[in-house]
Amino acid sequence: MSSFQLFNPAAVFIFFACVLVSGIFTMNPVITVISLAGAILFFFVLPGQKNNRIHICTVLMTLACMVFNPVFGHNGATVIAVINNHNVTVEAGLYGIFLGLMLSAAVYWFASFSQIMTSDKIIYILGFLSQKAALVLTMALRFIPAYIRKAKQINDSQKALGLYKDETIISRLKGGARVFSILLTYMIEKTIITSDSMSARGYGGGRRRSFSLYPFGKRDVIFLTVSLVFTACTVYASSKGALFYNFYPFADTPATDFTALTGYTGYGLLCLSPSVIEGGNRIRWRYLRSKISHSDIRFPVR
Amino acid sequence: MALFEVKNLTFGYPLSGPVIDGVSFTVEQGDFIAVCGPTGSGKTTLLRLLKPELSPLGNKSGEVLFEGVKTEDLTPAQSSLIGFVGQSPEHQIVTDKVWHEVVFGMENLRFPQNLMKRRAAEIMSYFGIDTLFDKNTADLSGGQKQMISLAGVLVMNPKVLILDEPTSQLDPVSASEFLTTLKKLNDELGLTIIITEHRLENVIPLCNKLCIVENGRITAFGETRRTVAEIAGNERIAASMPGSVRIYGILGAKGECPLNIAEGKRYFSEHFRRNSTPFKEEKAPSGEKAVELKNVYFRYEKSAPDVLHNTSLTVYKNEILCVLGANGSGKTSLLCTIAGLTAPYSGSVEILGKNIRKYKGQSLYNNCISLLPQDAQTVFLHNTLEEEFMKAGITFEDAPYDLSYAAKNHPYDLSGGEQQLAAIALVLASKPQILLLDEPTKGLDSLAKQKVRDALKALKRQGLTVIVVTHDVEFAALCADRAAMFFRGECVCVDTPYKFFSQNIFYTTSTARITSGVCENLINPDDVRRYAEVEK
Repeated sequence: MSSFQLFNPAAVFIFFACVLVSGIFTMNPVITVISLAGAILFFFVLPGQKNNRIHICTVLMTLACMVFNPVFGHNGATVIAVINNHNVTVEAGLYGIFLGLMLSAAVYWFASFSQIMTSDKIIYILGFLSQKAALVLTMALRFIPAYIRKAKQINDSQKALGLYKDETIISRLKGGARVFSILLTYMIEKTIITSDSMSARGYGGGRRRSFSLYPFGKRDVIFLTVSLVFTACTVYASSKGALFYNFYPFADTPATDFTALTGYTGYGLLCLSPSVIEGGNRIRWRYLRSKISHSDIRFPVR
Repeated sequence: MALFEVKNLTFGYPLSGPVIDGVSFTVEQGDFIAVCGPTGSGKTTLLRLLKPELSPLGNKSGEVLFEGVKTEDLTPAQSSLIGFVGQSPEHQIVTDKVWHEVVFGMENLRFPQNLMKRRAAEIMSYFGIDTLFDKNTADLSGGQKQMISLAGVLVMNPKVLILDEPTSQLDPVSASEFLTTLKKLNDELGLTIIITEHRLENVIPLCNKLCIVENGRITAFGETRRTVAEIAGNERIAASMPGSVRIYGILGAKGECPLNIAEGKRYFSEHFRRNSTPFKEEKAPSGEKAVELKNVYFRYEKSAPDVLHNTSLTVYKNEILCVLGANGSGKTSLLCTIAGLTAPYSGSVEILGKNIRKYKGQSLYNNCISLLPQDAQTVFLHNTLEEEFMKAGITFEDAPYDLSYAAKNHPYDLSGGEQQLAAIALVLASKPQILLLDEPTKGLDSLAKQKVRDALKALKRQGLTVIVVTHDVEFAALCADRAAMFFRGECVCVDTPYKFFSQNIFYTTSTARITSGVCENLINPDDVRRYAEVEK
């Protein structure tokens, strides 16, 4: 299990929000590269099933941005070709790559995010905004799949009843409409049972108190404080204009003054922190396990 | 002070006569009361009137007092002391995670966080279902779902638990497990329980009081053994009584009434004198084959285990075959395979002498096979039964039973038994030669079961072949020409009912269990009636 899953979901959510928001709004290629590197590193460090098609997807996306941005955008001073009276510039290509990398970073971050944040945790976060919305979401997660299964059952029983006269599209459409209409009746009918079951357990008496499986502990405070301090460095640098970067007409050289370096370092540490936590935890486990296996304590064997 | 005091309660829905008519009774702390009566006698309405949030709207007179307070005047906190569990495992679960379902009621009542955690932990450990805590509710079995619903009510620490047919949608094993849990709660925690139930077989040995409701009136109420003896002569109610009680009635109702199988066995060996040796020469069906499965294998996914494993089964024309077996033994998959809804990956299925693959398009479903799935409601498409019949191209006269009285009703408003009968009539519209039924008696009371049985026998007389998948051994013993037992996707044995049920030891009818060792070949109460010498 990922040690990240032990953090309070709110802390995890705020961390990801910091990474993505400050990464995207600075519009700085150095920040983008840091973000991408951190995201890919974390993607591999995080335990669990990996979908490796994601790499093909991000590479293609970056290539597409690199190709299509110069085709549609014609800013920039360094012209390398003229197609149909339109300039194709190096700067536009660079900007395309930059966009592609930024999107790729977001994709990797989201891949890890969705692995950590299961539906329970999303509902917990949503509960801060609106308890009703959170309840509606959990009910939707329950009833939508249930109704889809029901639709399949109704369809099967219609089929075995001989109600599909032939296998034409018209017959199928009619069948689909029949199933949908009866499914609506079914839903309305069954909702009464559900609402009875809710009011029988005291629902409707005003504000509820959401049960939370997630304590907000010392580790969450530390993690959140550190993340916010790193983010503050980036925001500070950005507000001073040190991270400002121009692609047009000529692509700037990234700034290297002290303020800018503070921003880069802060953001770098922010993006690195999840991998450090995860990796550190792994090492600790390995150490603990070796201690366990070398200990003299043996369980009694019958 | 009595927990509930019901004084002269009369209730009627708007535009209808009284459903509850002048009912008075008291419920004492620690009671386990079974409320029984025919469908439509007002049991459910009566129970709902005890729980203020669920009380139906209508004309009410008289009063219901909970711990001396009128139910209308209870605060939400007081009302939470009355727990309620309904019959549908599927629809009374509200949320997608088990833990959330368990704490749902406590959230509504604003319990403190640590108390919620503690109660959830307690109840899950007490029931031994702690491993389910993180599961999705959709992944649970019906029995587990009902258990979670029960847990979600118990965490609010109710003084009384009201259950409306909680086991009607469960298979027999989960049902008796559920009822045993209720007994445990009653014994170990002193929880007061009021339950309606049509499986009286299971509940009568557990309850200390019995309440008989007929046409909105309480016709008998009191200590179980006494009440049961009182109504032994009442044919309408007695038919739904456990086997031991029915045999007690048949053998002259002398002495103390036996309530369970052990008592029944003792009573039977003391009081049964046979007039002749029961010997049933049964003719096993033979002749033309309607359905033939040869070494059929089926699984849902490549990596999943076989659901049907080397299944071979022959069904002859014009027989009623009942397929019995535990949950997950492949019974429903068998029906789906015969109906062509799922295709086996090996083996052959022949329908009326022709391979199922040779039925092109929809031809299998015209004048050939019809399947009525477990949930009969999935068959209905229209707003009234009349429209339903008209669109299907049949009339009320075509059905082997009368349903015309319900012509203007919405199909969903019919009782479970009426729905089943209406669905069977609709399924017959395509003039099938083979009728497949999945659990046709699920949730039905004894009267409705009898109607379904009569309907199947009438269809058999018309020349149909009927294959019924069921958990209901009593039902199978009364209507099957042959019974088959499924186990792990395989048909383990097929036999005529008298051979099947008198040779089985565990998986058999209650009559067979009571009579075995004293007199063989008695598998239902009517057999006992036939061969017993009753001293007048």
